[in-house]
Amino acid sequence: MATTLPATAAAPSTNRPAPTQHKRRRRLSAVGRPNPWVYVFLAVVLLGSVFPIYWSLLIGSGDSSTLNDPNKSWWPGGNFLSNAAKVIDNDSINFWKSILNSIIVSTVVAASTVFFSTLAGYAFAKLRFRAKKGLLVFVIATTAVPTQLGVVPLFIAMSDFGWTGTLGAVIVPALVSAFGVFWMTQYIGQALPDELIEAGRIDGTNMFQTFWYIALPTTRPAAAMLALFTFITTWTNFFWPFIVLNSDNPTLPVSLATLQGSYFIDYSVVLAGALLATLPLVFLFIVAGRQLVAGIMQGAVKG
Amino acid sequence: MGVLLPYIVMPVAVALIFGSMYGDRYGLINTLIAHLGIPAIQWHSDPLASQLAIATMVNFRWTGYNTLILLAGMQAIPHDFYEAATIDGAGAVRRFFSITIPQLRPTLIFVIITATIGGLQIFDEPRLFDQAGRGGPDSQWMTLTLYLYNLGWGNLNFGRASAVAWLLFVVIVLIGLINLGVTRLIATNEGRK
Repeated sequence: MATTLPATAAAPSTNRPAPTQHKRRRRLSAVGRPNPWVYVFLAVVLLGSVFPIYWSLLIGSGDSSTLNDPNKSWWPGGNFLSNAAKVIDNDSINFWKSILNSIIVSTVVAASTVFFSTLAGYAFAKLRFRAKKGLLVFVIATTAVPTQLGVVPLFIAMSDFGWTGTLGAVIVPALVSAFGVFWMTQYIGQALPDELIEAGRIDGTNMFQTFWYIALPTTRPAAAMLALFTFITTWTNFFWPFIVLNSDNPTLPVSLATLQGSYFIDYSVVLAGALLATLPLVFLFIVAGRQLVAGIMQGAVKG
Repeated sequence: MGVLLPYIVMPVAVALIFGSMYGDRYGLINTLIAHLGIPAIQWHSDPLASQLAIATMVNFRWTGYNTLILLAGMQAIPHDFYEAATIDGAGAVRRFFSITIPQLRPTLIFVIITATIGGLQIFDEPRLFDQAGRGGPDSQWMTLTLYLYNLGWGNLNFGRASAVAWLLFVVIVLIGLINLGVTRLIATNEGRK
């Protein structure tokens, strides 16, 4: 490295005049100042991120001919509510039931994942017991196993329980996640000082009280993050609910798929439905978008 | 924050939205490229075109997410490195390739591996790319997971479906290992230059 670098680096510096003081200062600050093309590029990326959602509004607020109309207006039409009504009134998709199911499933799964992951994380991070490290490695290793591998046996188990078509089949297998356990173990390990636990034990709290009054409050930021991501992952999850539920008792993605599978596709209705199914998370995004960004940047892993 | 918006759109909705853009005859994309003088692309019959179309759906949803992971990695690079390089006369491009990329190596490996594994498992987008959901008339956009589903819940052959799941698992492990090897190789070559 030391032998090759000067040869290439010296050549330009000899035939280029030494930078003036003014120029050098500008170049230093240029580290943090992008040129106009960067803004153009960012604008294109942003447009690409937002346009498909706008497109669903555009088509979803038109009528059945809007999609293929070469002279379509680029402003949303006035039919969104009537298209949405067609989605809601469609007998084959049970819209209200599916949205209620989605809310129930996502909330229960998020709450229980946080609760059990915090419990397990507390044990892994702070308690001393035999084979602790091996068990933790085992839990983390299960995240490398794809969901597809468990799907067939899980389905057979659910059939044997008679749970297929019920929400239990979606909720129970998702009650706790290996990623959640790992995430909470990491957080509790670094955020909860042993002294706090010792102080609690000296004051006479038992094991569960220590967890409930000392560990749980300190984990609130990580728990909120985990709840948020679990909620979104569960809300958008399609594969397993699609296998185990049917269109009589669906979650939102399942009923959206049913909507598309109808004999004749009216895209204005289908896209109005897609937008309707996304809106609850858009509100969540507006409220908690900052936390989402922070969570991903702290290393939350896709579900 | 806008780039993260696609992350909250469920893949099913993404598939429906993009499906309406990739119409074979009057779809938005074909209309747009017609203005550029490119003949209409048969998104639902040409294998490569259909795979590209499905890839854009996955990219749409995950680009912002991975951008944020990489951004976090970049913010962890000490600013001094850039100042030192600037004083040494390195231009913006040189700074990017000689500082940012090598420093970002662990993050890049993580993103590449998770994206590859995620890509191997896609189901929602190909399932909803047409109404039949069987990966196209000639299996042009059939994925392993879709194949597994069709075997298990189309043909009710759970044994074969399980075998596909195991093969998928093996492929994931293999690709993870290859990815790791390749990224290691690239990174060490860069360091040697």
